[in-house]
Amino acid sequence: MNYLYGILSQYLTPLTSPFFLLGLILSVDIAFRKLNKLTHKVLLPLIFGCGFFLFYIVAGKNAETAKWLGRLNNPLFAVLAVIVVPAIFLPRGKYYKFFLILPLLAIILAVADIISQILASPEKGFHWFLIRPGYLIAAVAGIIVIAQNFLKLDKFRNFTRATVLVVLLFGGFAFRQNYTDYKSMIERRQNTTPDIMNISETTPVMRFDNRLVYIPSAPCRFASDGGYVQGCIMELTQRIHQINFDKVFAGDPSEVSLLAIALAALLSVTVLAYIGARWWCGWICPLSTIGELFNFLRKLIGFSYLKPTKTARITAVTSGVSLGLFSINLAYLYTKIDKEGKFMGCKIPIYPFCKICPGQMVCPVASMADSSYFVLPGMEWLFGFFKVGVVALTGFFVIGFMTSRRIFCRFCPMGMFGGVFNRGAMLAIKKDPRKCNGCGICNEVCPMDINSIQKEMVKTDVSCFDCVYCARCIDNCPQDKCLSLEFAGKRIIESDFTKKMNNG
Amino acid sequence: MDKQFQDLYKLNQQFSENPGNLKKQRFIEDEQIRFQTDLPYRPSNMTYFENIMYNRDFSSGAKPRVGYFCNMIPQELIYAFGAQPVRLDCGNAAGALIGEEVLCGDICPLAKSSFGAFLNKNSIANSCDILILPTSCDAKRKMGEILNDIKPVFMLNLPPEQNHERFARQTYLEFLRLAEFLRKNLKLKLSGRNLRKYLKLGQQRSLLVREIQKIRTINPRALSMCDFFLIIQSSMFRPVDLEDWIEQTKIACDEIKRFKPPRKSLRTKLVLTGAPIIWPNYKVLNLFEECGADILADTLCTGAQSCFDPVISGEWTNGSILRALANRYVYASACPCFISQNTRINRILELVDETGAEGVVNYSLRLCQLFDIENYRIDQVLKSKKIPYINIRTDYSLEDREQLRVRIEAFLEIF
Repeated sequence: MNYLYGILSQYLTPLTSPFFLLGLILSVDIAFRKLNKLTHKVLLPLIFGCGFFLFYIVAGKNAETAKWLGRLNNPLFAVLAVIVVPAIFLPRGKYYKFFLILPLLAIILAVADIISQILASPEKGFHWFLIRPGYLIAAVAGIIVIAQNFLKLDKFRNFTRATVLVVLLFGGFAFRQNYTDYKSMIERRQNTTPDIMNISETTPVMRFDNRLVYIPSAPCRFASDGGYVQGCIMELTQRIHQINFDKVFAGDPSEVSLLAIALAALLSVTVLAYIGARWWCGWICPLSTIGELFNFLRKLIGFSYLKPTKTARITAVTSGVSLGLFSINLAYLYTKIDKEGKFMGCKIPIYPFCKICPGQMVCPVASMADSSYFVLPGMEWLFGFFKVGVVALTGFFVIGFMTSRRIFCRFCPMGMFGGVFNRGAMLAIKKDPRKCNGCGICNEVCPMDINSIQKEMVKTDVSCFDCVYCARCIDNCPQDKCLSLEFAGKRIIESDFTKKMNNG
Repeated sequence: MDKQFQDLYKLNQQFSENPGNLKKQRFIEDEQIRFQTDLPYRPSNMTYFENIMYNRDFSSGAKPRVGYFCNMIPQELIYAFGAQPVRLDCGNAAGALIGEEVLCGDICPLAKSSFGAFLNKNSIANSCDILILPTSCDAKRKMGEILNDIKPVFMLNLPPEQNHERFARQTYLEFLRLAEFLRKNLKLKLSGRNLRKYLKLGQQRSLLVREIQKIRTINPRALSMCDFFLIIQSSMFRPVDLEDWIEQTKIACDEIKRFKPPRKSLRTKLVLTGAPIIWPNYKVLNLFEECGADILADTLCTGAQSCFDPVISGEWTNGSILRALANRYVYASACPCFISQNTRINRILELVDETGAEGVVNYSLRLCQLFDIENYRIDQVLKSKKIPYINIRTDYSLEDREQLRVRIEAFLEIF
């Protein structure tokens, strides 16, 4: 397995670049929109792919460029480019099942990797699943792509969410890279010093710890043993602001490399956001998945949801923006603190927004399974702004999801970052206004309570800032072919009431 | 619940003593029955729908009967209370004459005719226990007040504008009030299970209507529009077991799916829009049938459009379903009583595209100002799109049949 991984990582490096994914999707987009012949449609992405490989090899000769390109590399992009993008764009005909061999292969490789790592481990016993990140992501994507063929949209969304939730929350301890990585995690667990700064893995630390990329929704670092990914966009923003720019300008190499890593991460997360926009909120975000469980509880009890008033909606958005900006400013002030950790007499914690973010309260509780840390690390900071903030926001999270579905997501600054890319980027919700009967079911089933899709009677692009692309409106629309979800010019889902009813 | 009407100046119920008129009503119905029986290519189980529609025994059944007007009243809700909804809009030309005895002469024949049924001792209208009317037009609004003397009446307040964002909650509260009225007057409880059951039955009905419409666009001769209207209206205008109805319609649907036309049809394909056409007033449909044109689709609140939009609820709680009912019955309505007529024009253009129809017919009921006024814009829009268009302005009376025939034949000469 080591040999295979070596070969794969050697020859597939260009695939792990975000630019390859971006270029691939853009070329496919152009091929679908502009070209008519099938051969041309296939040829254009192929030409791009070859060109990119050539470029990558040439650029790799230069040490500085290679270093920058290397910082951006991530298996997530390779998986998206090889497994997910073809699954979206390939025509669903007779021959589609031959493509499914690829995700199946990814799953088999992942299982083989787990088995080989168990056999290779020097100590007998249960070490969870030791698996390399590349294999794990490929396997998860493979499972999701295969499951898509059997599940209806609603079930498929829940399945995706649950699968990703397991990886993001429990991945911190359940899917370590190898035996030494696992041992170091166990070692860190013994460190139970109450000072939050020392809990290196539960708290985001100011160093790059070989984790995967940031993703635009809220994959919380406060899940047990640090979760599986580096963190959310708010964590990254605060990280950049916490870098001491005086030192950077003085040429301190460690600080400069911190900045370089953070900027590379920002670039790759922007690519992900450009591709997925707020889709990450609707399908991936573990915070909203936990929130949906509260929502499910409400449905079980049989309460009808409350529709948030316009005032509540605007308050959520504005307070999200202002709290986010305020916390980023606090993060900047962290670089100005004195020896007692105080600025102008106030104690300022590292990652201030995380101290009030409900994710930091909810995710550790949800992933408590094997975590030996103090459940709620934010509690040490219970004073002033943070004390009120953490209680108010966690209350808002629970009550918001319990009563009126996703009102919390209007507040969420992590989601707002994705929302910037909702219009004009790759994903779009399209509407044929002439087919609309105005029934407003799109508003009724929308967890974000968006009215504009129902109201829009002229334009065809109805995607808006709040939309999380859960596609419930498309699934429930009673007019055939009225609403549709487009990804880079390709129609993925289309409202089809007749088909939905006939399939039971 | 707050009362909508005060019984301060209550009048007693009176019946019209005009046996000749009743005879005339029966004659008009018999004429239509005879016309429809002579149609070619009818599904074999048409008698089931005919038996429902032609039944003249109006004695109340086991279930309490709730009469309602217009397509904005949620049938599913009434079913869920264990009651039988019956739509009371009437299309009998002779009924309009006795309706005039109480209502003034210058209101639409639909209102007069529907009211005439209440003046008739043996009618389905009088067998109802309670009545529900929407405030869709002036005639309905005032008729509700008069009918309140006879039976308990609920007036469903509609928003003047189909602005979902602004009025959705108001409509929902109005529907809650309707549920409260039904509970008080029927002395029955709303059953959540029944509500879900009838929601699903309603969806199946829409699905069937859609399917038949789809078959008819390919093969219009498989089922004549008169029979299609009869099938749809038998599920609303008479007490019917919805499950049976769905089963029979499925059989009929299968049959017309297998229909093979003996030769190529050269009949003109048209889309019908405008005021409601209610059995036995199929005057216009009959004329088009006779003149050699097929109406493929309609936007009529008594035709395929009435069942075309299904009720879809995101969740299965009663509140959510009530909201879904409000959405479908008020916001998906193409009635001209709402401010904007965009929905209807969109629908007409969409149907023309979908069915490949060659022209559009607007049936505008004399004295219904709402449809009359909307007519102008539809005329202009269709003209700009180069779609042939005819406006047939008539009332229930059968006297102008031959004049209309001349007009329709002249219109069909275009194609």
